[in-house]
Amino acid sequence: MTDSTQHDSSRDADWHALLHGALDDTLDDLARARLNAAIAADPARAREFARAAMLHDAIERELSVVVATGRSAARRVIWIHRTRRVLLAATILLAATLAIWFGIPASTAVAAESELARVVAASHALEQFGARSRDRSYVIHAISHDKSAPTPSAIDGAQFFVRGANSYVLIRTDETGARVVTGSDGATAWIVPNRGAVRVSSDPLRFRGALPGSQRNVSFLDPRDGLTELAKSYDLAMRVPLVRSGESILEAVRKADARGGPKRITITYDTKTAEIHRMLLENLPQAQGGPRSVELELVGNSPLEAAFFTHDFHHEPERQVIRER
Amino acid sequence: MDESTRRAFAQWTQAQPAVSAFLHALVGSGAERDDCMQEVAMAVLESYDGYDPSRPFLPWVMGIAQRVAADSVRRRSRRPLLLQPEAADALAAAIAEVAEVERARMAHLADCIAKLEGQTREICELRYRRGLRPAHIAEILGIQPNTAAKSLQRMREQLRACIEQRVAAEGGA
Repeated sequence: MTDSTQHDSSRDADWHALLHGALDDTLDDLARARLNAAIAADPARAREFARAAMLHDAIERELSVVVATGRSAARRVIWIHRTRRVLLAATILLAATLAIWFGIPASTAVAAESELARVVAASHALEQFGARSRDRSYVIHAISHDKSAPTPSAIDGAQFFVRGANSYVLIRTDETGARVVTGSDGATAWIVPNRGAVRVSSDPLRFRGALPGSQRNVSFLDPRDGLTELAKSYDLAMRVPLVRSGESILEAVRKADARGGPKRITITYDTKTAEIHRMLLENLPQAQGGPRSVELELVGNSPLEAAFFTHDFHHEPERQVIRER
Repeated sequence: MDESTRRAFAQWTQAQPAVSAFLHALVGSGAERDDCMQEVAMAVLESYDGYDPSRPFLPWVMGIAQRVAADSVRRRSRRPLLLQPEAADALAAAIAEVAEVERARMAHLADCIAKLEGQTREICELRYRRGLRPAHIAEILGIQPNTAAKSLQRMREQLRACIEQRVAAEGGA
């Protein structure tokens, strides 16, 4: 090896250390300055950094979206499914808009269904566009209409975080007042009790017992995901909008022949953006315990960290972890 | 959705991976990058009428992204952007140049990740699924931080080589 090739190879190693250090956020100020100078002065280095940055970003997105094997296929299916759902909802919305423009009379029920379609379409379209995050943070309020009821339900005051249809974190206190965190990243489910071992299951549906509705096969994690199914089992009606607050209210009452689920669901949402602010589930069946009614109140929609839906995020590294099959 | 929004939607969808990578390089990963992405998307929607369709879309949206990232750092008063304006301009131009080819190549990424094994796989998971930095990864695996950093570099190089191999096998450029 000549002096010159040795020099080139050491320069390359230095450049690659800078490049990867930048991706992993380990550069000090001096190294940052050298990286800046290299990218600004040399278009070939800039292109190399561009390619590395695109790979780095793509890996993170790949690993933070769908966890199961066959990821690409699953992702495509989800994309097609969502696109279809948005297009369907958008078509319903368009039909409703045309009906209004051309003065076609519409019953209250049809208006409510159109409004439901608008809520779902607006919500998913904004997320697909990337103008709204997929993450939602709720506080759960347990509501008892029975004044003689003993203590409030353990679910009252719980924090509920949702990403899409499969990932969630529920932070609550149990009957003894101890903190319990349960969740799923879509591929596994886990429970972090206040004391003792953390349990992780390869069944993503495990540990859902405390979720409102889970005892009654009300299958929603992201409350909006249940909305498209709502019209099948519920009669929909618009309540008088609270114009001054900019909110609208959609009320769903369970059809006489429908089984399971709360008797009434009241959805309060932003009239303009269709963001759901509150969802009240009333008269939940009581056969398997839990509160009579619960309200999910939206308290935030900022994106949560990629690791938030994994158990490690919620306990110290030294905690014992037991993996179930 | 009107025609203009439909066009903006289509172009934004194509541009997203490039813009995301650019913001990732400027502000880092996680919530701040995602916040910036949302702001850029909103800005694209709001200012699309002012976009000249005879000019390429990606450089226009990269300009928006750069402003959004700078504003975000100012608002949060945290350490400056990784890249100063001159280098950020150079990177924006470079990403615009390579974006289309890279976007196509990333179609092989999932399969290449699936082929990672052993500690390489573990390191990949710790870094990208759990968002841990090399020092934290080193602590978990009981190795030196420098070793963790080097392993991350090798893992990315391995993924790149795997992608290139698959592209070559397809007869691509």
